[in-house]
Amino acid sequence: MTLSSRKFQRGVRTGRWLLLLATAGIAGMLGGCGHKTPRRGQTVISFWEPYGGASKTRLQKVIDEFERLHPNIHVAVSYAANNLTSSQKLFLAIAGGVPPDVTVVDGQQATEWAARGALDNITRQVRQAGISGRDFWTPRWKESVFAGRVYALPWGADPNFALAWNKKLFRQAGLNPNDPPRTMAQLDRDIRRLTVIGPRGRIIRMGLIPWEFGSANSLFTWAYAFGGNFYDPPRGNRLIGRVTINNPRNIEALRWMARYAKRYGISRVAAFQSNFIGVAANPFYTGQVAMTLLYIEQDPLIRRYAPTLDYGVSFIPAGPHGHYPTGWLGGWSLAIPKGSKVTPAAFEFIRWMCASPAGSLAYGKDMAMFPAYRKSPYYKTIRNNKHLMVFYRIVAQSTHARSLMPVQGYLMELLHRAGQQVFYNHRSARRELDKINRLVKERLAEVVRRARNRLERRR
Amino acid sequence: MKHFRPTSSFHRWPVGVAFCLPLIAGLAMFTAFPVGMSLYYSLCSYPIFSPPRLIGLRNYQELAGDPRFWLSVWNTFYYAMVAVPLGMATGLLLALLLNLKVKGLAFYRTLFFLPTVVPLVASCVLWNQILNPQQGLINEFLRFLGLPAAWLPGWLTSVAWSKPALILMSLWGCGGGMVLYLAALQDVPQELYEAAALDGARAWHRLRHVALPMISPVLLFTLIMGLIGAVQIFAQAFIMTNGGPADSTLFYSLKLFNTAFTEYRLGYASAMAWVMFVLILLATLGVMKLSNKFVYYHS
Repeated sequence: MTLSSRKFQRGVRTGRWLLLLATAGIAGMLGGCGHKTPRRGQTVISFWEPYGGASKTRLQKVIDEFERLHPNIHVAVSYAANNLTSSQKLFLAIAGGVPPDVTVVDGQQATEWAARGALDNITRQVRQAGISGRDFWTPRWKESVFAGRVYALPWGADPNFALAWNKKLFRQAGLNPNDPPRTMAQLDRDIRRLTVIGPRGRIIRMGLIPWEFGSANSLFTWAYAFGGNFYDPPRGNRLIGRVTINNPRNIEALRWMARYAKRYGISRVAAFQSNFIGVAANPFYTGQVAMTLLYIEQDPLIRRYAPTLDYGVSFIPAGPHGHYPTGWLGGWSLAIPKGSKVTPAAFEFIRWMCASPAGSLAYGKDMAMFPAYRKSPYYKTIRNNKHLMVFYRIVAQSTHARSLMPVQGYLMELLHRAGQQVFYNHRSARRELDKINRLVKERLAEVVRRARNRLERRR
Repeated sequence: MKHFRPTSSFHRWPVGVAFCLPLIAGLAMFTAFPVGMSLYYSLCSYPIFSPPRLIGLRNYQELAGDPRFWLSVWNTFYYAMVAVPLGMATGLLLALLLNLKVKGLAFYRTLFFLPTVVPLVASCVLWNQILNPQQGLINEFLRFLGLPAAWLPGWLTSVAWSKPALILMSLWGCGGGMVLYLAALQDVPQELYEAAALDGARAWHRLRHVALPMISPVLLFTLIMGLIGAVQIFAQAFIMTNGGPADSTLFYSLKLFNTAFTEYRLGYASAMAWVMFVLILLATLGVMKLSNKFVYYHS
């Protein structure tokens, strides 16, 4: 079949119009997505963040405040998922040479990303701005430094964790509702008395689920409570510290968790946990778990979803070799990815967000989180809030972050696996942590060797 | 009316190529080039943020001695070997039932096909609830049948039951195969059944010696596509179990993804991808070779 040339040309013209219309339509749709467009003369900085839902709306309020105070800068915000071990979109953007100007990085990732060459060195800019480690809560600052160089500024400081207990259930179990456990022995006693197993072995209520936040985060928490440690960071400009994952206190903590996995049946507890989907169905809010490790964002959530819940907030108990009160700090930081120029506008954005009274106040108020900037005026606004003051004491007294190892993602993955092997397959806690110690040492040596080569080449 | 009439094939081919160019360029850029580069990266140490460095076959040697790699191969093999035949058998059984000229055929066909168009993430959320050991539909049903509590499967919370749970979930999507089998069954000439019946063949014989040989090309197609899909299983494990409990659902693709984006080892992950490609190729060639014995092309 042949095609008439006129028809063909008409078809081409029609196609061209359709293409134009479709392009205009798509552009219109994108334009209508709620993104503000920069005004003429404004410097645009691209900013990638991992928030969604209500947190994203709250973050936008903080950014609006920045833009109001910096009329010459426009912040173009994009979403990039970060599950604390990986950020696929960002990694590919950096590898492809098209990273954003500023990115959010989890505190524990900062040293690793810095060691692997994914972040720009901002030491000079930090010094020029008069910012120093004393401005931030110490564990958060340490997470931002690698080989004596600054690669990120700490933004938030998450006090992990407080202990929340249900006073009504304490009363029902014959425990003093105003006396939360302070030692591991008291905690063991309370868990036993608060746990209720129904007919046919069905779990009705758990006193506490020791691995509630996954094996890795829970092991960090309990290991520090038992007086353990995972890494002695290097001093000065040295790159490698001492790996202490098989510290006897860490083994003790893992064994303690495994005892509960065995006593109540790990699969039964997992089945019990899988009943609760979504924020509102948290088993602590519904009285199906009597004690929980509380993170700071949860306190307002309890008021919202369980306004009648009679509960108290205190510190998590400590083992005989641990400190009371205890805890560790998490939180996001802001950094400039490799391949982006450290422009004055990008650094000013980071500085204002992380190390200014106004920025840290906006972060605390709008995001309902603690700023890493210790001099933040936000902390004056919470003095009358009893629960937040518990969190404040954790922040002020914590000496730990998860660990300062530049192979943190790998360590988290290995700890998660070790927990599963110990809980499900009854493997020896000592043997599992010995194995992780060896694997992490090997990986650390490799990462640090590459980092050293890169730093020497730059010199 | 003047017609566009090319005078020779020589004049015609640039036009043809020009029309194909977007597709050729797309294939070259987004398929051929990445495939070629992944082969090169599989011979490199490539920690994402630093340039790749050639290390020869060391990634492949390391794979051979990596116990978690072999565990992921075993988990994937177990899943594929059970899920694919079971899915095909279920799809075929449904097709045979619908081929009995039942009333409301279109309704049932749509009903059984519907799960295949449900987005995977939605299916995972739904099945998480169905498989819940305490209050999920399946265990409630088993409890109703009088099964003692100790015998109830832990499904995704148990090392022994996690893979069977995902296999059970995969059966939900057997409607895709069912539609193909039904179409093939309806294509079988009626006179073949009648001739077999005249020779004294009963229902089972008519199925075994008439229907199955006649639809065997479709069975081969679904077997190969099913195998390829099963070996690449990822989303269910990523969303529902993250490889757990205790690595019991650590499938090949999940291990590959974690190697690339959690351990920052793109070279090693590329080597895994090529091993997977070779395994799928060998499995497909094996099935094709065997197909000479059980596939009948009546045309």
